[in-house]
Amino acid sequence: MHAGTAAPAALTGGFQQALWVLGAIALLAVPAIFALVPAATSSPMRLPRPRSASRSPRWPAQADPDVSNYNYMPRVELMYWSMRVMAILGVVMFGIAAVGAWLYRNRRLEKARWFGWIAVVAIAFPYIAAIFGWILTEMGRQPWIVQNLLKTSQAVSPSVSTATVATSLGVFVALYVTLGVVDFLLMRRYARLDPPQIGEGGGLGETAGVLASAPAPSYGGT
Amino acid sequence: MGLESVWFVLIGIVWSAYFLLEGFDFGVGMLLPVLPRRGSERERSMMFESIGPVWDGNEVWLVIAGGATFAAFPAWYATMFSGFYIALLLILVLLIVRVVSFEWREKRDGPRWRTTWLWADTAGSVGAPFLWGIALANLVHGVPLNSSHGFSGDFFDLFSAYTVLAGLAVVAVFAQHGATYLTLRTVGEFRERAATAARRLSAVAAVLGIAIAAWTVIVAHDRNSRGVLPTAIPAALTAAVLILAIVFNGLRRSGWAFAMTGLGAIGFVATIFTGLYPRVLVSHPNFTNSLTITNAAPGHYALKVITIVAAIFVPLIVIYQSWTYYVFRKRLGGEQVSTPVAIAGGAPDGPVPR
Repeated sequence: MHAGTAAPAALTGGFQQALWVLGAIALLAVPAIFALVPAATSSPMRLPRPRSASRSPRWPAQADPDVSNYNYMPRVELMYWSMRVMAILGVVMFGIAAVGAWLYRNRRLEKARWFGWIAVVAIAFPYIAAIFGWILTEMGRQPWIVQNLLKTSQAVSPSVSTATVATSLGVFVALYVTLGVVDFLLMRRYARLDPPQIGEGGGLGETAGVLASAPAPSYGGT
Repeated sequence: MGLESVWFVLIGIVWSAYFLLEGFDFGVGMLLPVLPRRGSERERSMMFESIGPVWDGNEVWLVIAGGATFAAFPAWYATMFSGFYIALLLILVLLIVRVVSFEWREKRDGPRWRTTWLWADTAGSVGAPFLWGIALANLVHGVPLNSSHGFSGDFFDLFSAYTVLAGLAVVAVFAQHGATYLTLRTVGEFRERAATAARRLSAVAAVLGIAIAAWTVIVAHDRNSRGVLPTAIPAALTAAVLILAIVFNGLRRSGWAFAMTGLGAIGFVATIFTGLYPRVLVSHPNFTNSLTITNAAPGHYALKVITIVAAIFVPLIVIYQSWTYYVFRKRLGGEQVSTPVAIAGGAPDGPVPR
């Protein structure tokens, strides 16, 4: 900035790298606090025990207006770990993204094979995190569909038979398994494509086109 | 007019928006196998691209219709979605397969692959509006409800001459709406063929559309004890715009024709909803079990909350969707059309997955 001519550039470069690292740490810190602080305050050794689990029945048939009479505690161990798998994977994904950005910034991304393997494994992370998130919400709220007001068993539609529900579930499972298999085959097909040669056919723009149009799981539409 | 009536009208407007918007992309989907020249992948892609940027935004209005019904009339939502369970399951499967057809068709080059997904799109584009026509017609035609307003019939109770004709009318009106849309969005020789299709389809749409409008007046009178006049007004307007659609399509006035085909699609919803008021789901044979805007509505507080939520978010949706239409306003059919497809499927001289 002030004295020599070459030094400022080097200093700026180092300064920018430091900023990247600090930024990544700051990004990591926010979810890490959420993930780790509850773990510190209630370790698995000291899980809250269901109150008088032996005396009161789990999930009574009729909703009792006096909620305290019954034990509505969900399966705490499952909830506890579902929350942590989701949150910790979230932190890990933040970290991987930050490392990737840092490598890209330093033009080392193409050569970092170790990072390529991490990135491939990390493809599964959002799905695992989402699945455990759903386990947390859907199992954690049982037996209520509206907390302390309406139980799931009371919210069931009387005019839709079990056979009909089973049929629709079967249809959706069959449909989504089929779509999932085709989706996987398409992704494999595109992953096996050789990268386009520079100056032959199309350049980087084409790669971007292939990537942009690569099949992504879509939950859009209705 | 209480908030219940306001929300009845609003849900009618949301269904109208859905018919107006998704109507033409369903119509384009219906014409996919017939309108392009035999073997012309370029024209098929052009048709896909004419609705590619907008079809899923159009579908948002269906989600809003479902959500608004759930929020404003939970009892209506509960009875309709449980009673029409199998029909709605079929619609969902058709819509899911159609969504996938947009995403996957361009991912491979083989003719079998492309033909499969073209027909998947067409199946959804014909099947879903047919079933929506049947579902909406059943609201006023009546379904068996018990004394607690629960559905007590089965899947086949939804099918009668009136409701099936309504389904066919919706398909025909959407087909002409889609053909007219293509005359606005394309140029050249393809546009000529779209115009011819629009002209022929507008005659079919007028016959079926006017028949169902008239029949709805009778059904609303017989099944819902509605006077003839209130329902006859939207029915007559529907008839008028469908005839004007023939006229404007004949005169090659695409803009005006598109306005009329869109109003024709809205007219179907307007006639049904006018015939329905003040009920939301007619019970037949036990008319006293019908769901009305009062016995299907939640407390005043819930209606007030969703009124505020809708006042904030519906304008936002209208703004961003209008922006999409503005961005993709250019006509298709010039020389530049084929490139995005080639990129997605691998360039002809580059690596192509087989």
